[in-house]
Amino acid sequence: MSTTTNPSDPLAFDDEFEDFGGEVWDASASNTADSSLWRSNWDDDESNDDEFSRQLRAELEKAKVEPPSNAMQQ
Amino acid sequence: MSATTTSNEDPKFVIAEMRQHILLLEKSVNSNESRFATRAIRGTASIRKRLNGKVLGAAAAALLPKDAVARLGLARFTQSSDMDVDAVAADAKVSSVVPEIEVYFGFLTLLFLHDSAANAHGLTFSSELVEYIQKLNRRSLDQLSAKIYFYYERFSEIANRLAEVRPTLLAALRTATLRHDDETQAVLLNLLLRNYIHFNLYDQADKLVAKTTFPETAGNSQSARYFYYLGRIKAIQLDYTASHSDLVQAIRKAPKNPKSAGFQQAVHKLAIIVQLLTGEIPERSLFREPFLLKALVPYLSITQAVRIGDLAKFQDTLAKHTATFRADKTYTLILRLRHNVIKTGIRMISLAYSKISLRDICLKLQLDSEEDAEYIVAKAIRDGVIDAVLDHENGFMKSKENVDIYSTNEPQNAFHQRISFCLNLHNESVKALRFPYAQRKEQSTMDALREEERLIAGELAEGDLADDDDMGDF
Repeated sequence: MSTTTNPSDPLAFDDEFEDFGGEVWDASASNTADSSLWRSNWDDDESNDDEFSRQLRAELEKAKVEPPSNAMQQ
Repeated sequence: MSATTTSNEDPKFVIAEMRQHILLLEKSVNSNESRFATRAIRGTASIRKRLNGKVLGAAAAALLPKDAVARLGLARFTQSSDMDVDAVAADAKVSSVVPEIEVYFGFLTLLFLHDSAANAHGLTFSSELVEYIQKLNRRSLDQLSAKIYFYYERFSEIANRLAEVRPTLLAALRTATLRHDDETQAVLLNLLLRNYIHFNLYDQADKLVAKTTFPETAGNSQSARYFYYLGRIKAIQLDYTASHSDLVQAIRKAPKNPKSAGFQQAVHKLAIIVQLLTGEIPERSLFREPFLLKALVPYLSITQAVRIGDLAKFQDTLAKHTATFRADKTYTLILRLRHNVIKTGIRMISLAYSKISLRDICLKLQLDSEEDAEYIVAKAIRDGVIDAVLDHENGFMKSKENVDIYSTNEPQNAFHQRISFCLNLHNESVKALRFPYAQRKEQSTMDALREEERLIAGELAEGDLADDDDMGDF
């Protein structure tokens, strides 16, 4: 964790921001973030559990069970 | 706040450091240079956690005269007694000190009272210290004064007596401005804005901003606060774009260390909501920053709901975290986002369905009635949010066929955005490059000026002689 305080601003070192609660953060929370570093955008985040995805998955399962009726004919 | 666990720690070490600070403060008085005072104040950060009644009492006995204001204050407000002098000479060798030392001690006492949550004492003592410094007019006291005012406000806020201190702060601001005391000015301006905002007096806050200039020389942590308060005011005034740029400045100027976590969280919370109100979605990575992760969880849900137009999720999150949002003072702003959620929801539906009944829209968006749905769709079409046709008689919405996007202005807009961004980046870089040249130019200009001065002085001298000669011709 780097403290990137501006070196030319000496008083920043001792400003403990008591008016905003000071040091209020959960150090343990930061550890879990490492595993998901690769997930940097909203699309990756999408939970695939919505109605549409479920129905789609159900349909795909059905299609797999039945033999494909329109097999590609060359 | 944990009390010093090593209560057996010898006060001697802390007192030794205090002596250093005192020397620095005396130096700042004698040399009239503020940087020594700055260093002394910086030094207090390292002894802050080691302060307690015993240490302060021993220090006071060793470093202050017997009748010092600070020493009397100390005795009244801490558990120290002048008896805690074992390692130090019983009779105070110090006969008198400059006021800066008194105020410095008062400052340390306030820190101790704050950290041990002795708030009532803190309020009383800080008021007395404010009275003390108001009677003085010493530039070398400026930086310490700023700190005293800060804690004076802090204790007042904790005691819920913020309205009472406003006149004092306003008077102090006038004085500081007249004396060109930049740091105190900055601190007081921020304290006053904070005060007004606390009571939702946004008009008054705005007037104060309009009537004053924030000192450019103020430190980053004060600037950061100022931009945050500005952002808040503008957001309430519906100027979301300006608000967002102020909040971005606040984020940039804020120190990025654990101590500032509370501040960083407050600014980011507001910035996220304001950015959503401008129609943009914040970066996903923001919600993973270590100092912010946990604090931003409710805001992540709101952002997700707004992003995909999920009104149900939006309402749920709002209900679930009402207390948090109210405490963060973001509740009323978030309410304004409901409109955005519905707009996005309509857009999603219009993209997904070529034709859909108003009843289905009503169900999907959890609206109250088909009339509501029709009204919203009509408004969306008129605002250009969606490209569709409303069939009132048969109660459905029909999306227009997907036009070839390259025949619209969309690509042009996208290009324009990217080109503007690159040009801005280029201009900012060039501006940043200018400084070294400017300095050199300044230097050469200075040299040229000096040369000219010399020539003129030379001519004047010759001219004088000539004049004398003329005079002498009488």
